[in-house]
Amino acid sequence: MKRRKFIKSMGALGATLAAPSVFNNGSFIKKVSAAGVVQDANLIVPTVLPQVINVFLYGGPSELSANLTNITDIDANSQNPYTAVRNDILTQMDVNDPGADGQITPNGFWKDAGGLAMEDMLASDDLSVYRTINRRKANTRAHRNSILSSQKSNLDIELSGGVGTTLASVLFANKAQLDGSALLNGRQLEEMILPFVSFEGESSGFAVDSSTGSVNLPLQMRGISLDTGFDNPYARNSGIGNEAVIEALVDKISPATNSRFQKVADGFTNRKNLQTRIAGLKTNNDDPTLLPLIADVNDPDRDATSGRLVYPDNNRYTSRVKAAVTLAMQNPDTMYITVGGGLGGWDDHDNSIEKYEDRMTQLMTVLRVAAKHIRLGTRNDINGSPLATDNIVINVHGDFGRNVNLNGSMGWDHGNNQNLFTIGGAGIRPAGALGKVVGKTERFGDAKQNRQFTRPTSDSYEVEPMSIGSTVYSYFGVQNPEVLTADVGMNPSGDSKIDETVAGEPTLF
Amino acid sequence: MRNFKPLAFTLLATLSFSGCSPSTPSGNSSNAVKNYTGELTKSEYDALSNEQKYQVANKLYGTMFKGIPVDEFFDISNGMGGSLALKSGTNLLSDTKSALAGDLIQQVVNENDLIITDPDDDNNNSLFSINFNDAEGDWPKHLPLSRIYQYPLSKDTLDNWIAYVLANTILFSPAEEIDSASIRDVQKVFDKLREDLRANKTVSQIISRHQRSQENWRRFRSPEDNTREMIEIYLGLFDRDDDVPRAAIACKNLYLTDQDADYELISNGFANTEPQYVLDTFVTTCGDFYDVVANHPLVMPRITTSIVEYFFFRKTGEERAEIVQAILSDSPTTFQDIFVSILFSKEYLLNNERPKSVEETFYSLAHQMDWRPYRDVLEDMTSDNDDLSLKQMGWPVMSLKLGRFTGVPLDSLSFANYHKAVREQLILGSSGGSSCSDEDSNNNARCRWSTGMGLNESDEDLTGPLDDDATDQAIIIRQYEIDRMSKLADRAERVTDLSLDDFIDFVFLTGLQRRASTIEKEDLKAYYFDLTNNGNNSGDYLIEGDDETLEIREGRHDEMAQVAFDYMTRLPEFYYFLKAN
Repeated sequence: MKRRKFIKSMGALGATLAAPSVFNNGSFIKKVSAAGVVQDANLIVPTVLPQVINVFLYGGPSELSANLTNITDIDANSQNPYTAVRNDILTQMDVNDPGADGQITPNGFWKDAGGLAMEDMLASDDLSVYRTINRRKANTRAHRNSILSSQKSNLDIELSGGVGTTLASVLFANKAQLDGSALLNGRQLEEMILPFVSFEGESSGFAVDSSTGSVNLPLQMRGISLDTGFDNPYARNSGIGNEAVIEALVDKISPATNSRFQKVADGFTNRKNLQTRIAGLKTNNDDPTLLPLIADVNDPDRDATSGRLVYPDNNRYTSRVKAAVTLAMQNPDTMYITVGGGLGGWDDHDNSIEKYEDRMTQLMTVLRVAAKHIRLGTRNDINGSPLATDNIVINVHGDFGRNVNLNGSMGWDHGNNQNLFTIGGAGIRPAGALGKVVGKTERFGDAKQNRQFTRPTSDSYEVEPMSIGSTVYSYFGVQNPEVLTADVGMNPSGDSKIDETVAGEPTLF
Repeated sequence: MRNFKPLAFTLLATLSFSGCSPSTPSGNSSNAVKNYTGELTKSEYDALSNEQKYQVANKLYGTMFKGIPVDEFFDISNGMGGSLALKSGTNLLSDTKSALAGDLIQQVVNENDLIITDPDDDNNNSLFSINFNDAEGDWPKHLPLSRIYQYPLSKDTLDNWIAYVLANTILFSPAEEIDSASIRDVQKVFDKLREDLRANKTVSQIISRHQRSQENWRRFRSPEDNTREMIEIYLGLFDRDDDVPRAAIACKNLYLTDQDADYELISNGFANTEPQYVLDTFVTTCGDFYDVVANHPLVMPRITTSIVEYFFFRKTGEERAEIVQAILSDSPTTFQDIFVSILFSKEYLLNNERPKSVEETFYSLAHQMDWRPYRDVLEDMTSDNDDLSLKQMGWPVMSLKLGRFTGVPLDSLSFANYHKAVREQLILGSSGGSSCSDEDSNNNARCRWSTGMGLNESDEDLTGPLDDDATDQAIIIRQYEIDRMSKLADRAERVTDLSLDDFIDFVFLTGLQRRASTIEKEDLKAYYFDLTNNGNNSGDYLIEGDDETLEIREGRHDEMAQVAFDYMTRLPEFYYFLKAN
């Protein structure tokens, strides 16, 4: 058992007197505000079609993997010292001997919590880290509220649609501009193949927009969920009946009730469309020869035998990240992909450090491979012409950051300030958007108390979590993403996109 | 290895073979039958068509993972024409409510437990294969599912079902998915819930007990996490963040050990002594805080709201609020009050339309067909990757940290797995079939329902003597099978006598709780006729009767029904509990 330091309570604090009512639960309040005013978003068709993979870390990861800049202060004020578990966490690493003691990397990352992979991605201009995604509006530390407001980029968590849904709505509302355009290779919007995909089953990233005036999306523009191994449950095993006869009868009877049983009817339509399409994706996903060759024999992600990039085995994130990147690479029509996992993965309330280090290292290692897959991989458009891959973005974030105090169970409770890891997409970002760490933080909170956080310093750049969605919308040509993140009651001005031209922080050493 | 001999001995020691059938509800109605605001009345029920009554009956039963076969609800001895006369459907509401208020006598419980499980692994062909010897295995998930399946309708069944529903919601999920929880926590959470429900504990008592448990701390693992989640989950307050650190101080002496020390809930011996202002009152210890939560005036509104959201997730917020208010107007105190009030409400039975969960579809149809489970079916349901895996359908069992989401997952992947599982595991069989007496095979699905529906006879020989050393369990199972086969033989007489049109209606009522439409009937008849006319031996379904009408060839009922069921599973309505109107 780990050593614990028990600190005497400081006693009662102030009172809160608001009389609660069960009916202040958001699900009972139908707001009249229209959460997504797509007509006001002002879409100007971009020259390149972006492809965004949104990796959501359910549970809310600690920000410390990418931010040990305050660790000395944190350790000195924590109820339980970090050094009791990781005795070299206050020490800078030796860049010439990464295996030696010392956890702080040159950019202030946590070496054994994915820090080395982050440094690699930073050096290759595949990654930028925003350390100050900080919630000030309707601040909450509840999972549900935080997940939904992040996945929807909107504080109206009950009625607004997911980011994928809002994006689809904007595009569909501007169908006249898009249909036949060069961006779509002359096709109609509804002809796009698998434009919106979830690798996490039913995702709030594709939640239906229930607000007043929402766009009624055609099925082709709604989220489709796929298995991370591209398994094909969409195909049916044959029965003893004649398939054509049975389907003909279904086609006679079913349409009359499809609107009544819409979601299942959609499920059947998707099943039919997907049953033949999945096989090709699975073949490509399983084919190691489709991964790029790596020239550098010392590259840690190179398979020694084939000389090709290889995704790591025995890594819990490989299948889902690889599937998402493979889909994006193989199918340029896919515009927004959600990737997630079971809640609890990052909800590190107890005995956290070793498990967190392992998880973060696995995640960042896979992301480093994914970044190379995107940067070095090749592909063609539907006409067979070479197609760049620098339109593919991977965003990684979660519910919230965590307290930095190590609590009595040697874990971190729910916090606020968190990181955004954003990878790839050089072709759709402004110059200088990649290869930097943005945001400065300080420890905040009473010494030896649980409620201690990092927060942006007064001179630091910071944004709300909703700005992540705004930035995605802007890649697709939305000029006023603020209206898509606005809510009349809680966030009337909405949130602007992240300013990706902000200068990064200098290295620590 | 665990020795379960004592379990079997204990069960058997209480048995006397005095003719009490395990499948017969043998209640001693020790619990009062209550009436609730907004119940569907007898006169409202009587005003429905008989077909609608069957829909209502199977919505009521299906919600509890049960189902009523067509010929038990209706008298089909004179065919399926006209308005079918009712059998058990006559007094459905009062009969069902009375059954749910009655406890099974212990002998019936014991006999049914021996029918569904084989605790000593004696190869007695129990209905389910539940491996109690696998300490890491999923038997704590299988046992409640098997009991819900097999126990006669009773308060025992109701309590098991309520515990199962609650343990899958945010209210009591054991959160097996997280590293600090395990299948042991599933076992403890479910069993304690079931025991509390058996004892008619109040909602407050159950919450009070659960909050203090190690299982709860393995889910919410620090004082701040635990107190925050209790406030959010049981009171519905998501805006009391300022209360959390003070509540955490009240619980500051408690912590969870690490993995090496087996995640034990420990007190360090330094309990808080300074009063903390939390939820508008003062608490000092963690026990004080838990009592404040459990007895808070928001508990019943919040719990009722959560359960109403589970059953009425397609209703608007305003509609759900009205339903909650109606339930609260009866001042419920127990979970049974809330669940039974919903189950028998007019709003639920007549006006609510929603997708069925996988268990609701699978279990209710299995009961309507009198489907004989293959022994590993529950293992497949709770597995990670099997074709029948509920996890693959986005609906894992007692696993998610925040419980199953409100509403059945119908995204393309989840629904594809759902449809495939029901069609191929319940209707078709995974690869065409083997002997119907192979209790372990999942290939012979048609055998499993065709005998149950009375379409053909079982090839199981029940006439031979049991071995001299047959266990008492083997004797009970033999008697159960004999009783079942006797019932099915009677059914077979009625069903195989049906005309072609009536047979199609019988199959449709079983699968969809409605008769076939004219188009459906004509198209299916044309298909059956076409196969016959083309001399396709494998599909030679019909023969010409004495009066030149087409009749079903003996032994072909099951194949014809399979084609019809295959069709039905492709209709969206198959996956919904319908509005009656």
